[in-house]
This record gives sequence, C-alpha cells and structure tokens, in this order.
Amino acid sequence: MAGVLREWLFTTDHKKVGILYLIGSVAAFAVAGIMALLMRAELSAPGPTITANPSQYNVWLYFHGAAMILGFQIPALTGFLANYLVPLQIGAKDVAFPRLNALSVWLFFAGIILALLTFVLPDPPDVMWTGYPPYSEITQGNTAFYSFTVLLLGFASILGGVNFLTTIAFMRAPGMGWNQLNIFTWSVFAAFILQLIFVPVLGTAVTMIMFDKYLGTNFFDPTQGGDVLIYQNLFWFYSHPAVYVIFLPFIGIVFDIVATFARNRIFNYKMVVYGGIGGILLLAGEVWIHHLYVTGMPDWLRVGQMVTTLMISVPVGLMFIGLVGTLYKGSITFNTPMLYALSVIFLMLIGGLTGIPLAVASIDINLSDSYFIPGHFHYVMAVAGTFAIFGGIYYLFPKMTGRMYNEKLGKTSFWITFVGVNLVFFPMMMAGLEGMPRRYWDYSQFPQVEGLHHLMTAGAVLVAIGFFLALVNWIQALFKGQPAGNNPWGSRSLEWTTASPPQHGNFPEIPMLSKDWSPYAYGSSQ
Amino acid sequence: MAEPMKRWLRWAGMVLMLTALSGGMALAQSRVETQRVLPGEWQVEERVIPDNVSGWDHLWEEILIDITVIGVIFALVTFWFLFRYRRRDPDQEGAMPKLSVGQAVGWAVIPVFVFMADDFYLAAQGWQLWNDYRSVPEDRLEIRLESAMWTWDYTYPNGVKTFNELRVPAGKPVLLRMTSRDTIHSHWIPDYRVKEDSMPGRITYIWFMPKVPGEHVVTCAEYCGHLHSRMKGKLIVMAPEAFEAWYEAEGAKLQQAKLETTGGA
Amino acid sequence: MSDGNTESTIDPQVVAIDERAYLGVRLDGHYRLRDAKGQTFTLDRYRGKPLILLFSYYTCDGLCGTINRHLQTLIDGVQRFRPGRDFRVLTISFDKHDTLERIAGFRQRNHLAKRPGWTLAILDNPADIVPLTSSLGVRFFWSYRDRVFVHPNAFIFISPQGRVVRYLYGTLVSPRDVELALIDANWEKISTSGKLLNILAGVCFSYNFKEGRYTVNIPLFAGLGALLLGLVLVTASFVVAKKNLHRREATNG
Repeated sequence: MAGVLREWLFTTDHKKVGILYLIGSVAAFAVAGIMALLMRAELSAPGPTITANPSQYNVWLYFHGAAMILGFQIPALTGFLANYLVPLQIGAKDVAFPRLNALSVWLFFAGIILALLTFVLPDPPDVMWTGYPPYSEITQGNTAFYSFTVLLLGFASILGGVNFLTTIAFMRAPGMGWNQLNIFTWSVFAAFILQLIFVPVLGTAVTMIMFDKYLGTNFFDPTQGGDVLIYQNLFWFYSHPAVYVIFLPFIGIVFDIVATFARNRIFNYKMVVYGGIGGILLLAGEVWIHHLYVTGMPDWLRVGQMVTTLMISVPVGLMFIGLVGTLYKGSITFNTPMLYALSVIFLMLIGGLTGIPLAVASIDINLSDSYFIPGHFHYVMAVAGTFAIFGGIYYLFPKMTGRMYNEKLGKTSFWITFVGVNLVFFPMMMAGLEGMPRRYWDYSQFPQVEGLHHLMTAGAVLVAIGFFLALVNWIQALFKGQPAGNNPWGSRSLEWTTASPPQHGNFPEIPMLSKDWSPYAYGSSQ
Repeated sequence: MAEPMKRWLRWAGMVLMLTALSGGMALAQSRVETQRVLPGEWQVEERVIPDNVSGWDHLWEEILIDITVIGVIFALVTFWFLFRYRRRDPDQEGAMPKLSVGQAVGWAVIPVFVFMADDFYLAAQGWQLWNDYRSVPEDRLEIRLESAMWTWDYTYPNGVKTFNELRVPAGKPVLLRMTSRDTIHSHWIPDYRVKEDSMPGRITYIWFMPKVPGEHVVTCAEYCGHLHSRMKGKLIVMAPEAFEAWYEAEGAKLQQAKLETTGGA
Repeated sequence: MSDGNTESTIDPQVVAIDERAYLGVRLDGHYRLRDAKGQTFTLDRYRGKPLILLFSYYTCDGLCGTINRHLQTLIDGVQRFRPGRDFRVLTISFDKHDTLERIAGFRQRNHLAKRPGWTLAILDNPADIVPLTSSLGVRFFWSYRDRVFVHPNAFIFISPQGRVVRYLYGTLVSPRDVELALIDANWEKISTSGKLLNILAGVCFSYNFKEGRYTVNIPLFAGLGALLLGLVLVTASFVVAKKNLHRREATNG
C-alpha cells in the first residue's frame, strides 16, 4: 500500500500525472457542483430561503465560478486529457520534461486546497471569479486566497504549457508530420500557446490586487491615480483567451470521439486545423473588449471589437462544418462517449449562436450582466466543455483502466444530465430577457421570473443525479468492469494500438509511421 | 509538388482579395452610416429622437431569426447524417470521399464568406443602433447619478436630490451622468433596454426616452457585494404637468431649507 | 512678497471643488459674455475645441494675476497643442462690479493682450455669475478682513462638447499635466485620430486625484510586461527545448 502511494506521489509518468489531474479536477467539480446546488436551492423561491445572508450566497457563487473554470475545466482539459492523450497520440514515451510535469500537478493540488480553504476561513473571498476592483480591494473577504489560487494554478499551467508545446513540437514519433496529428493534439498545442502568452497578464493583475489590498499600493485606486478599468482590461485580456483554452481542447476531443464512433476521416482536416484552430488562435487576443461594452470604453474600440468578436463565428463555423461533415458517410454508433460528443454539437449550437447577439454592442447594452449571460456561457463553455470532458473520460476509460464501464448506466446518466442542463440554462437565458441581473441572491423584484427559477432548480436536481450516476458508474467499473481489450472502439489512432492500460514508456517499441499514415485512416485498406 | 502548390497560392490570393474587398465594402458602408447619424454622443443636432426600445427589439428579433435559421440548418443536417449513416453492420467503416484540392478550399472559402457576410451585416445593423444609443437629443433633462453601496442617488439640475427613485417627465429625453462613490455598479433599466456601469473616478452616461407615465424597475447589474441583489430602484415616469409640480415644489422646499440654515447661522 | 500670501491665511479647503459631483457636467451654453472690445457672445461659441476655463476678478493683484500668468508659462511649455488652433482659453470674471476697463487693465498688467486664443470676459448679465460658477462647483466669497475674494485657483478643462473633463489646481501643475488634460478633453477625437504619440500619452498616464496631477498608469506597463514575458516563454520553450532534446538524443544515441 505504501509502495503504491509512493509511486503515485513521486510519479513522473504522464499517464499517472494525468490521472492525478483527473482526480483533482473531478473533486473540484464535485464541490463546485454542490455550490451550484446550494445556489439553486436558495433561488428556488424569491426572498431568503436556505440562507438569510447574501454574503454566504456570494461565497458559494465565487467558489462555483472560480473552481469550475480554474479548478475543473482548465485542469481537466489541459491537465488530464492533454497529459493522458497527447504523448500517446504522438507516439512518444513521455512528455519532454516529466519532472516539471509532476511539479505542475502538485502545484495544481496546492491551488485546489487553497481554494477549498474558502470553507474554513472566517472571511472567505466573495469577489467572483473576476475579482473586479475596487470591490475586491474593499471587501471584508480575504481576496488574497483568490489571488494565490489564481497564481498557483496559473504557474502550474505555465509549466504544462512549456511541456506540451515542446513535446508536440519535438517528440512526435518518427515519420509523423504536422498534418498527421490528431485534432485533439493540435487543439492542445493551440490552447497552450494561448495559455503561455496570456497567463502572465492575469497573474500580474491579481498580484496588483493583492498589493493594493494588503500592502497599501494604489494600482487600481481611482482616487490616487489608479484606474478601475485597467484591471478589467488585463483580466479579460487573459480570460477571454482562457475561454478558448477551454474551447479548443474540448472541441478537439469531440472531434476525436466523433471520428472514432463514426469510423470516418475528419472532414476537410486542413480547414479544421488551419482555418478553425488557427483562426481562433489569431482572433483570441482581439476580442476582450466585448466584456467591457457597458463600461464607457471609447466608441471606436467597442465598435471595432464588435466586428472582431463577430468574426470569431468564422473559425468556429468552420469547425462546426468539419464536425458535422465528419458524420457524412460515416458508420455511426451511439455509445456513451459519442452521445456526449454529439450533445456538445447541440449545446455549442445554442451557446455559440446566442453569443452572436451578445457580440453586437448595442444588443449587449441591454443583456450584459443579465441572466442571459450565464445562460449563454454555460451552454457554450461550461456545459459543452463539461460534456466533452465526460465524453473524454468515458472514451478513455477502457484505455486508462483496461475495463469497460456499464453502457446502459452511462446512457441513462447521460440523458438525465442532458435534460437537466437544458432545463437549467434555457430558462436562465429567458430570465435575462425578462430583466433579471446575474449574481442575485434574491429576485423578489422580478416576480415574472419565479416560474423559470422553479424550472432551473428542478433541472439542477436532474443534473446532479445524472452526474452522480456517472461517478457511480466509473467507480463500479473500476473494480467490477468487464475487461475491455486494447481497442474496444476500433479506433485507428495511435493511443489505441498499445496495451490498456499502457505500460510505462507507452509503446513496446516506438511506432514508425509512413507518409500516408493518419490517425483517421478509416475506410482505407488498412 | 509544384502544381498543387501553385493552385493553393492562387486560391489563397483570391481569398485575400475577396476578404479585402468585402471588408472594405463593409467599412465604407459603416462610414456612410456614421456620417449620417454622427457618432459623437453630444453633437448638437436637431433630428428625430430615436426610439431605442423598439430599435433594440427590432434588431433582437432580426438576430434571433438569423441565428435560429443557422441553428436549425446545422441541427437538421446533423440529425439527417446521424439517421442516414448509422452503423448497420459491425464491421462497416466510414466512406468519406477524398476531397480534391478545389473541393477542400471551396468548403473552407465559401462558408467563410457566408459567415463573414452575415457578420458584417449584423455589425452594420448593430452599429446603426449603437449610434442611436449614442446620439442624445439636445433638448433633454440631465440628472446626475452617484451610486454607492447600495443606493442610487440622483441630483436634479435645481439641486433636488432623490434616493432610489428617479422621477422624470414623460415625453422628454433623460440623460444620466453617472459616477460612483465606492465600487462599480451598473444602472440598468430593463424596460428601456439600457445600462451602463457607474465607476469611481470615471464618468459615464446613458439616456432614454420615457414616453408614457408609469413605473419601471431600476436594478444593479454589476456585482457590488453583500446587498447587490437588493440594490433596486424605481423609475417613475410622470405626466409632464405632475412632474413640473413635483419638481417646483421640491425645489422650493430646498430653497426654504437653504434659507433657514443660512439665516440661522 | 507676493500679495497672494494674504489669501493663504484662509483655508483654501472652504472653496474646494467637489470634483466627483461636477466632472462630466455639461456647461450650459446660453450664458452671454462680453469681451474686452465690448463684443458679446455666448458660451456656445466654445464648442468644437477643448477649452481651458478659469474664473478670476480683474481688480485682483494677487492670486488671479499669478495663475493667469502661470497658465501662460504652462501653455508656452505645451508642445503638442497650440492655443487658438487646438484649444482656447477663457477667463471669466465672477466680480459683478468688473467692467470692460478693468479687463483692459488686467490684460495690461498680466501681458495677456497678444495671446492667441485667449479671451478675457465678463458676464453680460451679472445675475448669471452665481448660476454659472455654481454649475461648475466653483464657490467664492468676499473676505472683509483681507479685502479680497477667496476662490479656487482651478483651471477647468472643457471638452469640445462642453463637458467638464478635468480640474487642475493652480501652481501644482506642469505643462505636461496641461497637455494630458487637453488630451483627456479631446479624447474622443484624439483616440481615433491615428496620432499615435497623442494616443499613447493619453493611455500611459492617468489622473491622480490625490496629487492633483497625472501619474504613470503602472498596471498598463505591468500588463504589457507580462504579455512580453508570455511571448518570451513561448519562444524560449521552443528554443531551449530544441537544444536540450537534441543533446538528450545525442547522449542516448
């Protein structure tokens, strides 16, 4: 037992690091999910219900947002999935810097623990995951925990970035060209470029917040030469690209799942990679002002970024065409991972298309900071991302454990969750149109949205049941699952050519690839 | 190697040219728009007072139709594929046809133009409405707003102050000049489709056109701590005569109070 | 010894301007003024270009003269903008007894005659004085003891649209502050003008209410530095890794 523990604590194996990331991020997901349930309980009726203290609600909301984004989605996608899959997909023995990799996962755990201290501290942070000053500097709450969490997780992410960029660039199996990479590997590459470029900006911004609050500097104090808006600019300068740090890997894993379960080539691979992923990479840094449409930014800036924001629809649209096109003349089965991946198409359609009105500054002037916003971004990023992650976990489950999960339970849990999220987030957008602002602990002045809130709370219960069933499924399958074999899905991608679970070093011998090898070579005489 | 390369380059050249062309056209179009309505918010210009509420509703409906059409097309195609190409035999593999270079480029370029055309169209529409939101009628009531945790303080031109209750006459545009005492708030009047943040150290403006007497909700849209959700106010649109009477009476009361304090000192 | 010192015995705080309440307020354009030549005009005439507005009284030998003269040296130090062409200056009297002759005298004493774009004026209707000054938060009173008006020595920067953009206080300011306040006042135009240096100046400094002058916008530079660090990280990870991995391969093979 102690040996096993030591092995995991000091591991530098990318697969074990990946699984550690999975455990940490799913734990964060569970706690942040409980926060969501508490909030939904509070909002089940107007006026105070389960807490009469709005600050308590604000703390739940803070933790839910910060932990879901920084502690669950980014680590699950760029930590777990990237770590587990990328070296396998490119036919490498490990990542370029295994020890840095181990350091990064432990920094991640430190960040999670720091974030969890929210629940034992006397004055927990209540600054939302955005941490806007001046509020974050004048609040009673301990903003420092927010700053330190961001810094630790950011640093972990930077280490990951250095690792994966170099791994993908220099450690591909002999013969593997750039155009033979899995879409997922490409998306991780792009996501980490964004992460490396922009994380330091966020780190600087939250550090200055901390200096202002605890060391008496005046970076953001408007009475002393500071400017409240410069923080928002710095924050979104990172945090909008961060949306793509989440979006790219999750759409990447969806591509891989869809190709596998449709047993089909990616439709127009180069369009997806260079037009889709490349386009997002180019535009990611030029759209952040759309988060500041109602802050009195100069008109030319708002109008300019309205155009760049709308332009995001071009690369995303190309990816959609690639994704739907991959189904064309395919041979489609509907296993649990495929259901999750297909639902991402649906969720992204709703979420992505509702982003279009929000990109238009004059429409956003009414909808900004209303319930429409959480509705929109939960569809496009939170739920779509989470479903992609869950799909990824189901997809890789036989690879990671060598065992098969229960398909029936998986599908049941999927459908419960799917109905649940739509019950939560579609009414949420409607409540926004009715005039309800976000981050409200009480909505008694909006009697017209009460019915919608009942729906949302009911949906949240379904979501919780669905996710809980998924957890039960995994844990049960971990011990009692049927042996899955090396390649239960019949995939052509490299990760499925080795044993399940793969041994240390991944491949018995490093694969040598020919010029016309492709991870998606279906339908050809293989 | 050389031949496909050349073809690619030719395609790429055409794409660039078309992009430049469509971009230029969109820009020229919007230039025309701006000159017509003047972007500067405070231009002195007599013109019909834009109705931003119906302008907003109209654009919203237009975009809603636009995105619904796109969404339904994608969804129908997806469902059709899922049904048509479901696996019928366990050993069946996909049969994606190999795209020629022309097809591959076409499948990238044509959608790009379709999406961009839609984007530019929406941007131009949005820009026009934006200009309406920004061009304030010259004849207006200017009220100063200072927000604080957790109250809206309004000061009228004659010095009268109200708290969480904004009284305005029907039929006259109202402009709020906003700032904040402590943290950031956002003054939202959902019924008038308008909001803007109020910030310490910065000045922002919104305007709206109350038409008929009635009451509307004012609510805070930027997270501001403990009682964020209780930071609500009322917008009371009054008949012009009733407003005038209230305004004069409050002004007189204020004068009286001033006289008393200076007289007493 | 300057006469200005007699005024300093009264705490200037009593006439301090509550900037928060008046920044962004629009100057009412209907006030009718009269310049030294006796011509009348309304404040509306000053729309279209930034305006530096100051209130003085023309029999004043102390602070008023000092700050009017100080503004001259400040304007001479402004490199980017020329008075008359890019902005205008208007001195208005708040003393209801001031006359055209007094303007002439004040102009003479303070060498203001040959200043381009600088007008000295009185309000045509003395009853307008208090409404105008109080609409900008400027208060003043006659001190019987010192036989002077006590008043704030503020330069008020007005945007081309007639809004109060900035108050700068008399002797604290430098030509750079005046320059930056003028950029602030004309920001809508400057930010789209393509004149990069002006835009940069506007972005890189922010007004410090406590110190009464413009200071460097540090977070902006910190952010830019961080972005640079990010770009370096990306490049460095490729460069360093290429070297390391090659060496590792060499030792392995």
